[in-house]
Amino acid sequence: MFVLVELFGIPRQRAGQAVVKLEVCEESTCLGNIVLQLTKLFPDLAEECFEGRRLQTGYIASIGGKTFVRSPDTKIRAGESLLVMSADSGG
Amino acid sequence: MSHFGYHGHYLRIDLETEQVTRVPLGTEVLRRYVGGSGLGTHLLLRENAATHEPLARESALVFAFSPLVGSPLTTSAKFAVVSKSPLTDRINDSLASSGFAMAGKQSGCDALVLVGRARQNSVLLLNDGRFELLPVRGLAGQGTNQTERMLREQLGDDWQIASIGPAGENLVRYATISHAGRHAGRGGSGAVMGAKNLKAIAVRGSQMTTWADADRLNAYAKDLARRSLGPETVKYRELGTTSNMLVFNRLHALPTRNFQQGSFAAADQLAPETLAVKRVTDRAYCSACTIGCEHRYSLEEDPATDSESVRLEYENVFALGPLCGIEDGHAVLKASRMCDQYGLDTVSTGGTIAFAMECVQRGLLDVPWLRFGDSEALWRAIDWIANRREIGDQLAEGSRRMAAWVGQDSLVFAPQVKGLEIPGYEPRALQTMALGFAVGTRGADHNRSSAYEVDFSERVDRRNLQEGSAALAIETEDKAALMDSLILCKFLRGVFQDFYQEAAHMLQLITGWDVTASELKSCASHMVSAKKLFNIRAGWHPCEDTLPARFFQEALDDDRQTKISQSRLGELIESYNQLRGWTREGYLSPQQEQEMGYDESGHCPGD
Ligand code: SF4
Repeated sequence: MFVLVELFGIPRQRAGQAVVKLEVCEESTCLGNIVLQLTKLFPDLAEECFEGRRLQTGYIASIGGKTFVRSPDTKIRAGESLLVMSADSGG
Repeated sequence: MSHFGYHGHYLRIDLETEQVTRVPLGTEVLRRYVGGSGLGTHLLLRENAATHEPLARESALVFAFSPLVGSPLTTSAKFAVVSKSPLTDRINDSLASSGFAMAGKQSGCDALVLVGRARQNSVLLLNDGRFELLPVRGLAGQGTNQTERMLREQLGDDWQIASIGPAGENLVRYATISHAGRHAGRGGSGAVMGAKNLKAIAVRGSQMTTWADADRLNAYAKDLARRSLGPETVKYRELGTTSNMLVFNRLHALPTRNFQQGSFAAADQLAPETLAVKRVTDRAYCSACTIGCEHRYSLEEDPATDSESVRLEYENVFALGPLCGIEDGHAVLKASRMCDQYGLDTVSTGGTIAFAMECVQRGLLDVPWLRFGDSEALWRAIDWIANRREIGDQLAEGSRRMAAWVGQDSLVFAPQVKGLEIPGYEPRALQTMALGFAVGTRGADHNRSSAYEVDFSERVDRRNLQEGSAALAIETEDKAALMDSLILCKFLRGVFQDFYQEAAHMLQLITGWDVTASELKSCASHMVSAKKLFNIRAGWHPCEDTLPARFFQEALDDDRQTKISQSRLGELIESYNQLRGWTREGYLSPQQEQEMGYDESGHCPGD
């Protein structure tokens, strides 16, 4: 079972890739666990965008591009996409 | 009267009689309107400018500085241009940055109010407060950069110049006023300046204001500068605003082919991640800014063939790219450069051209070359708009007036609110923003409302209008009103833990006032009401607070769930009005109008 993480902007720059397929053991996991998995894979991404299990201020995640989430306890189901991006969208 | 942070007066210049009046600004007014947009709105109300045609000789054009200009605070070198808009016939305030703000304030005033019309096409000189009008020699028809260059050669490098391009001279209703590659862009202030027979304004001066507590201000400014380099601004520093492109595309929030779709198959090609690979890029800063969000790209992949780079922002790329169906980065860069040089607002230019392209697509307009996706057509249309040639003369009027000319129900898909073309935030995908667009005093605008911040948060479901949306839209609009009056760059906003608290602290250090966060909150709300009062006096009607019918009738092709409920929007507009203390329809109550303090002649007892 997988969660597809799509990275945008600075998170993408730091990870050096746009999409990461993360294996999850159960039907669902949580945002905090995904952040920890990403931290292991991409230390530069973690340094810029994460603080332990949390997203740094300035970053936000979205489940499937629909709902925005920040809490590390947010449930993410296997098969869902998780988008990680900058929180400020000023143009 | 001496003030810290202010000169305590503005200059009212009648361009026709060449009479200059130094008008005092009392503490009560300064404390209520702060500077920038707020002060400009007050001065317009004083001039009773709402009742004048924006391009008539009586109209007023205000350049307002702020108490923060010249201070060590990062991003504070900004000025506001405020007038009645020839595009919307409602209030318009637009901001620009850098040396003009500092030299303008150092010329010895807190604002310039220009009325009347110069007898011939002229350059206004303000030299340490002394005013002079020079006839334009060899500048007519020149682009904005070239105008600045030529005037600097003539006058000297210590002058700062704001100018209009051919679009302003030809009274294109969305012409800009430009300075140092930055533009007071939206709403057509360039046409107002053109109608005053002013090609440029050149300022210099040596009159600095002082700060109430300079030592603590310096210490605070250092700390703010340090925080301005934190995670909240890294996106702007490394990629610039164009990094919105791929996110918005993924969320179906990227307006495409005149809002027929919310995503664009070629978005990737226009994103900074791709453009930067093929082109030489560099980064630039407004004066007094530590962030430096400006990313410049060489026009050609080989910069040796064209040495002048092009500033690229999300709004240019969206409006001249996906909105017109243009896939090619070079085409968008060239179109952006053309708009900069002609002095055209890129959002209204792209929006009006995209609207015309859809009219052609539907067979409502017989201009067969004006097709979505055709770069040559885009460039030709921009050139014809600036020069008001053939169909360009209609395009120069903006999409609302053009829809009236085309007829056949085309207003349904004209991408505007109150006549101002909608920026790159698809309203169906960002519905708090949709509410902000509908109620905005300047029309569809993301800078005065900023309600997209709410849509990009866990506070709402962005694809549905919700009960709390009205209060959230007010929160972002008020904050923007204060930022635009202080004036600070919006890209700094994520840095503040408690914006009002810090804004009060800054003003205390600068002015010595015992101003508090709650006082500033009520000032911000008051400024929004003052803009509304201007609009009411200009003939505003509640039916203007809406969106083009397309957004109620058609779901996005690529996200079938997203349509806006017109009745829900209506309910939320009523809530918005009531939360502002206005009537349900959106008028100020008689008591509020009285408290506002302007009689019909513009006299304000606080002066
Ligand atoms: S962040 Fe960008 S727009 Fe804001 S002041 Fe700095 S360079 Fe100018």
